[in-house]
Amino acid sequence: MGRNDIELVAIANVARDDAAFAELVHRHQARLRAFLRRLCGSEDLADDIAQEAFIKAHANLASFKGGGSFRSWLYAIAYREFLQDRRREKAATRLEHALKNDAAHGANTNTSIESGLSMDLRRALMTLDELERSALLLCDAAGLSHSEAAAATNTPLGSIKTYIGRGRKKMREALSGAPPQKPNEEQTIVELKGVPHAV
Amino acid sequence: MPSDDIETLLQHDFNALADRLENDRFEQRLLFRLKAKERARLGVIALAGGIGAAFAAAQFASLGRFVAPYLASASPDLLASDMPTQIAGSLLLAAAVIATALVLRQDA
Repeated sequence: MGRNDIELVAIANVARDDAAFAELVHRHQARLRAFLRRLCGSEDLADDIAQEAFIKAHANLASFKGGGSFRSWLYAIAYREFLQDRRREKAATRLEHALKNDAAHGANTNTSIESGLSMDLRRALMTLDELERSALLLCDAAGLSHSEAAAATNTPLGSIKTYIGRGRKKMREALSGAPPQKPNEEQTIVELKGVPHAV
Repeated sequence: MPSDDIETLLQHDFNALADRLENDRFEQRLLFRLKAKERARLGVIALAGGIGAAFAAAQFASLGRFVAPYLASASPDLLASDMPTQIAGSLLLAAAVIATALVLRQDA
């Protein structure tokens, strides 16, 4: 029977076993990159962020205490990397280019999966704000629990649930062609009261 | 469209994308990059060791001349055969190589 993530982290950290870390990369890289690609809309940017996240995780394995899952810890690092990159003007320009390219070239479609509904889904995802998109992708797509998503995005659990509900509603509207409703101002203020570090 | 349909659509899209990303070369590129740091570190150690060894080797002749009388007093045959400089140099070089090898082995 294979070792679980926590055991692999311990082996990679204490015994400095590269094979153990390679196994962790193997287990998580595809889904982490899928999350980042859908989050930021650019393949290159997503892979750069994923690579940085794994390198930081490797360098900071000793700081992983095992209180939560390795997956949420890794996604938290990746999400912070995404936010940092997002803040840089260069990244914003790159993202704009990537989105334009995706729109122009049908997102490098090499399979039929990327066409049709998937493109509509991606466009609908891009109508959400970053926290809504993150929460929806982490929980509905990547399969993290609400608690894991809250830990990964450093957001209160209640807010995660709100973002998911609001995100689903906006997605429904976007996919059915209806114009998205603007969030209620009072509702937003109430939600942000519980968020110490709203982005 | 009910919300669980959105969830299903997202899951299908996400799983299809993750499946495609499962077997590309990202993993190899990442592990190569991680090991590159380690290789660079070992390279720096080896370079520093090499410079140190070269510097030490440059001192062997004068060191040999310095220690030769002491060695000769312990063993007059060594002085007579004109070997102390080469022997002392070889011994020091061997010791430096062994020490470097031990350090690299523990680091690897």
